[in-house]
Amino acid sequence: MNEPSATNDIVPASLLTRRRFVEWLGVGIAALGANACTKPPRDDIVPYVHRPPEVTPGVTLHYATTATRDGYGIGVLGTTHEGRPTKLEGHPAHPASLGATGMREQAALFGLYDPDRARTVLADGRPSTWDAFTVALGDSTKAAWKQRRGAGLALVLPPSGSPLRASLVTRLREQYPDISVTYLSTSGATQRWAAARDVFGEALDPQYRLGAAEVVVSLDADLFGDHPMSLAWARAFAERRKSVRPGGLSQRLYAIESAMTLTGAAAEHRLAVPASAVGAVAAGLLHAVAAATGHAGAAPIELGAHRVFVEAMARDLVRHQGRALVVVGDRQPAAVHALGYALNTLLRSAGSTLDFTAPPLPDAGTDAYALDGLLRALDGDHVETLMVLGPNPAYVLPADAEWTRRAARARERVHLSLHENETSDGATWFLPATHFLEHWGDARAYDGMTSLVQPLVAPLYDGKSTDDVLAALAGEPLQSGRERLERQYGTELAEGLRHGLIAGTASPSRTPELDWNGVARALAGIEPVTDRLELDVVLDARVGDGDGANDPWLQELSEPLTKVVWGNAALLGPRTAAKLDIRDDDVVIVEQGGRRMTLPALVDPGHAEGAVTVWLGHGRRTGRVASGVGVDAAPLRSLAAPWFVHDVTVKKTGARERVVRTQRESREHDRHLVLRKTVAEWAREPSFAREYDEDPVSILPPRLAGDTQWAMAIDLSACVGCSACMLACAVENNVPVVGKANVALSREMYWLRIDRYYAEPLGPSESPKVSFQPMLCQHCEKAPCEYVCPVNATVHSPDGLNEMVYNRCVGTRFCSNNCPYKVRRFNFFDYNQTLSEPERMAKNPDVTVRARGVMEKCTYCVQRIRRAEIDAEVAKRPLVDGDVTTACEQACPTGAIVFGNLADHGSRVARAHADQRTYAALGEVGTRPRTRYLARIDDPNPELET
Amino acid sequence: MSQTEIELLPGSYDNRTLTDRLLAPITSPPRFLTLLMIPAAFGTLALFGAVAYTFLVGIGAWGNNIPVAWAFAIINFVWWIGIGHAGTFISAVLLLLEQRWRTSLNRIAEGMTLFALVQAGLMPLLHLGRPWFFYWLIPYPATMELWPQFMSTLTWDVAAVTTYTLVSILFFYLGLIPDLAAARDRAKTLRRRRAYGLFALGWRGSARHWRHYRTAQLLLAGLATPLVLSVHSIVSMDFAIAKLPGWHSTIFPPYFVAGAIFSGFAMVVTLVVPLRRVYRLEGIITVRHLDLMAKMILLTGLIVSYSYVSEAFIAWQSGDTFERHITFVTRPLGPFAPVYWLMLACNVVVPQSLWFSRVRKTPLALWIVALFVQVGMWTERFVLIVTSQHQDYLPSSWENYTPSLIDGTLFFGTVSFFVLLFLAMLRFVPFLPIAEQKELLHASKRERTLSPKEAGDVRPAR
Repeated sequence: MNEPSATNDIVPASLLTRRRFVEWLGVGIAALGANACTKPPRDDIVPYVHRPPEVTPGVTLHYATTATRDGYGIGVLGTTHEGRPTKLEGHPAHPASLGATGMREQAALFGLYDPDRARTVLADGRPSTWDAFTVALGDSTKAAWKQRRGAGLALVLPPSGSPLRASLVTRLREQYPDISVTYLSTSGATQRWAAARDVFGEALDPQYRLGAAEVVVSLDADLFGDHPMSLAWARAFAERRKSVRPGGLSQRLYAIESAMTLTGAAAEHRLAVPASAVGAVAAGLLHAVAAATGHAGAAPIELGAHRVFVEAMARDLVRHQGRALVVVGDRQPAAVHALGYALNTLLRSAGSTLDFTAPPLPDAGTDAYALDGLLRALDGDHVETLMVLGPNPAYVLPADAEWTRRAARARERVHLSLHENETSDGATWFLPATHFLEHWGDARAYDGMTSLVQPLVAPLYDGKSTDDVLAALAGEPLQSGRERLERQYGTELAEGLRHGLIAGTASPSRTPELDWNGVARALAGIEPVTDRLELDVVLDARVGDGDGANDPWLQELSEPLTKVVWGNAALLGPRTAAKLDIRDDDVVIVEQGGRRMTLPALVDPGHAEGAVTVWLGHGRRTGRVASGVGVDAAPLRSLAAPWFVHDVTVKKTGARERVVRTQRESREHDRHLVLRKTVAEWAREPSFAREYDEDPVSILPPRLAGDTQWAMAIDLSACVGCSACMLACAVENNVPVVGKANVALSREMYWLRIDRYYAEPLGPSESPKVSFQPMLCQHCEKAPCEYVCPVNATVHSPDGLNEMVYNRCVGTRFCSNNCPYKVRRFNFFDYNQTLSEPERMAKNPDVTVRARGVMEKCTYCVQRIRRAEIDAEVAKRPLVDGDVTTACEQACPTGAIVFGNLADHGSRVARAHADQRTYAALGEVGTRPRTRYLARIDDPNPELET
Repeated sequence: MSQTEIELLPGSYDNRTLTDRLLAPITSPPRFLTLLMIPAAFGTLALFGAVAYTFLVGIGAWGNNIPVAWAFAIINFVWWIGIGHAGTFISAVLLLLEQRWRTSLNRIAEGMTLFALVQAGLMPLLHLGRPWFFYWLIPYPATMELWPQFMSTLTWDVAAVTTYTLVSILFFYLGLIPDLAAARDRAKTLRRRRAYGLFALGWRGSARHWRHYRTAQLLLAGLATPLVLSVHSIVSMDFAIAKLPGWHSTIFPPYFVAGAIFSGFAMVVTLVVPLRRVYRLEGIITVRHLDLMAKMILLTGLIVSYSYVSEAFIAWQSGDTFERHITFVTRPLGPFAPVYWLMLACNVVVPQSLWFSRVRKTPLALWIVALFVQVGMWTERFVLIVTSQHQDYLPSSWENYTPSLIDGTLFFGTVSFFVLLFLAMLRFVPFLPIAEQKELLHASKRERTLSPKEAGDVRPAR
């Protein structure tokens, strides 16, 4: 069980079989002699004869396009090198991005270059062509469908707000009125729509204005995770946090949740309860708020030990009426969302901290988002042709949907997908899809803003988009995606493409009237709290519902709270684990009614007691990277209870399996690494941070001086630990992935990591305090790594960079030993050697790909600095603040990272370094780091402080 | 004095019988030697296999990681180089100090030094991420005018170890020349005579030869003596100049030198005790020799123990969080605590038995103590290198270390290779210095015929 599967090892453990070893030994000896006379490769290198007008070799081009999360658009700018996409950045003007990206957007590039992508059309598993598919879909088939008004034709589509898609579906419905269209959403979005229908009479999307809220209560909502609006929310949250002054109030965040999330980590107060008990807490909160605001309340709910917390929270909310906000997480049942809407109404949030808009997704809140109709139709053999255009229902649906068995009843099964995956098994037609960086289209953001999807590259393989297939179904003439867009947008298109979005398309906000009867019904539907063990299922923070599982970058990215990589685990609270006699890495069986899954356990200090959490998205059965990693939670989920499964038993098997994590020690050991103060403490001791900014005596030469001195500042008040920076750095700097076995040996290569520390909880009923600290090369002025390198491979540049000369490095690793921050990474193997051809295309040509035996580390994105310097020189202008953004800074949704010239006193980084909160990590060691941290300031509720 | 000399060479030999006796192991080698060499050769093959594998795939073949970027290779390097020190100490320092008891031991000790250096020298080379660029650590006039970075102790290390190796080779070989000539003269076959003759460099034993020989030996001894102090001091600075808690310490140079001599003498005892038994050399390598070496082990062991105490005291007195964590938390209580306690038992507790003359003079007991010291000194380097790295400044990067199979193969491979080289020396080279023994014989004979007063002034002719 401890054997990492061969498929998920990027560096094969079996690199050398006995036979290979003997071969290599012979070859190696022969090569020793032959080495001296290697010839350059025989490929001809031919310059452009007629250079395409827009391409200058070495100069990058940027295109605006749109990525999607759960169907909602997030604007991105794609960078291409000679027509090859190499990086995605956020679109500054797009409301859901604001220039930032999340880890999924950063990782999307790998999706394009994934060597496992489907390349050919398959008919009954045999290679075929699109022409053959079009013939099969010929006029006679269409006529037959028309005759039956489309009955027997079922489409399964991913959720999408694309207006183009909507018009295609409408045209299809006009032609085939009885066609069945089902949107397969794996988030819980349907619940919030259902609740809105109940209490407002229509499906609505709540628009949270976090920037305006002074007290925020999150009921199982991960504000900064994978919600389509997370990036914008994180920005609003951070702006408030960054503006905090001593003694002043910034914003207070309460989180009620089961497993620790980014929101819980950012919160001042966090109450850990099993996810199904969040409803009871919401009801208790509603009762307390209703009582305090003079409304006839609901019957009091027994809250037990949580009463003090909930009541204090309620008083705090009521004190901030009009500036308070309650947010409910998507996976909570509709009843809890209804209570959330009621709470916000009582708190007079509407119009100030909360707006509502009509969901930009067509058919939102209708049966098109419910699966049971389709499943019934399949059972009743009413579906003759089943077309799954994009999603992977065979994997993402709970076991009791029995998708594979049911789908097999349809005579024709068409599957369009980027990968041949679980759903493709037995498909009569498998169609390769295009990646969103390869096709035209459009999308709408969570707030309704329309943006365009334009390709950065021609399809790498023989793929077509979902829209192409839908258009073919509608019998429309063969058109390119761009022609279709032109038809949709007309003259607006050119302007739209230039900006990436169509101005003025955000949905108008509405102020719906709350129906208290609906709230009463919801209250009645709140589940009572039980003390029986429950299973909580959440989407994995990295691989989502599994569609990111074949992406090694995402697999190797540590889950922000537990720091787990490559797979999932059964997360348990410390007391529950102790009661069940389970320790870390014990293999457990989670069982309910004979359905079971077996996976290793991990004790999560912040986890609610009485619950066990498992992330979805693992245990895929296809994909060379994805398969065999982690365990699928589907067997225990059901359509009726997809997120919380009651009455499970957790038993130890006695076996052990290492849960691989990138950080094993979670306590700070009194080392003052992350400085945290409350606003009150800060007011008492304004210069607390100075104490940690020492400059001990040193024999090393004095710090550098000059007009340009690069430096960075990281605001720990703003950082929410989302880890987008880690991936942005990895993509920008060609950081290799090393595989599970090597991470288990602590050889991960990420240049930027986010250290996570737990501290003692604030109050008795609360969970441990969590601190994040992004850790990257600190570019010390008195760098300990430099003086120990015997070959001058790491040296200081005149502009204050600690530089790494890969070509000169012989790999003594002394620099790493002497680095107090342990941010240097070593190429223990030739990690890039095993990359396939498409994967190589993802490499950034501006950054050296490091060889085996070489040390590497954060360079402050020196390639970006030099490019900006060259650009400024060409334009004959001085460098100004903001000309250089590092990859991490650019991706960061909260703006926690600031980079710039320290010698320019007006620069953002110089001001940040002069801030009262600024300190040097391990300042007492005397390294004079150029990266400084700004202490985290919390604003806890005095009532809950002990 | 005269009593001592007699104890050092109790047999009654004359020139001829002594030469015969001392050449017997190579003129009529015992059969078991070949049998012993077979497993040692296999172990050596395994070593070369592991080296080739490491060269092919990279350092990833080992258990090293970040934070534990240095592990077995550096432990082995420091351990082997420390072992070498006793050889130089015996042959050079004791020569200068005119300690005559060294003569019957110095060839064995010098050979041991050289073979230990072979093992030690392999390690830093292998340990490089890109070993094919090892020469970048050597100051040579490169066309890019790029020099090594002289602030790094690793460049000093290269210089120190290279010098040490050269001096050790010269010293070993120089001392061997008269004896190779003796072996040539006694050779029974032409082939052997030619082989030994080639290496004897035409030594005829003329007075001039002897005069030059003595001068060269003294000069080399003069050169080698500071090396005993400097080489391991520089090796210790590989750690001492680092910021790493547990390494960042000014007591390292003397502490390392004492530790080196400690382990080196233990290695000499480990080799000599079975040797004198097997070759029936109790008359040449006497109990008195063992006693003196045991006293050296005890002395250097006490210095090492003192260093442990001083290290702990400084860690406590400095008030440094990181230093204290290493010294008082992770070493005695952390994941490698068994290794730490084993180290203390082997290096501090067990050598205390050497206060008893019975233990010092019982070869088997002394041999067991020496084995403990060997283990203790290896574990000391493990404690120093691995535990200091695995829990340093930022708890987020703390990680355990598990050696891989290749690590183990490399370690046992070097032991095998060392044994193989040593056995080869026993087989082909006069491992007891004939000329010096004869000198001792003459000196003690003269003492027996002279009055004690006169005898006190007698020194071997220089």
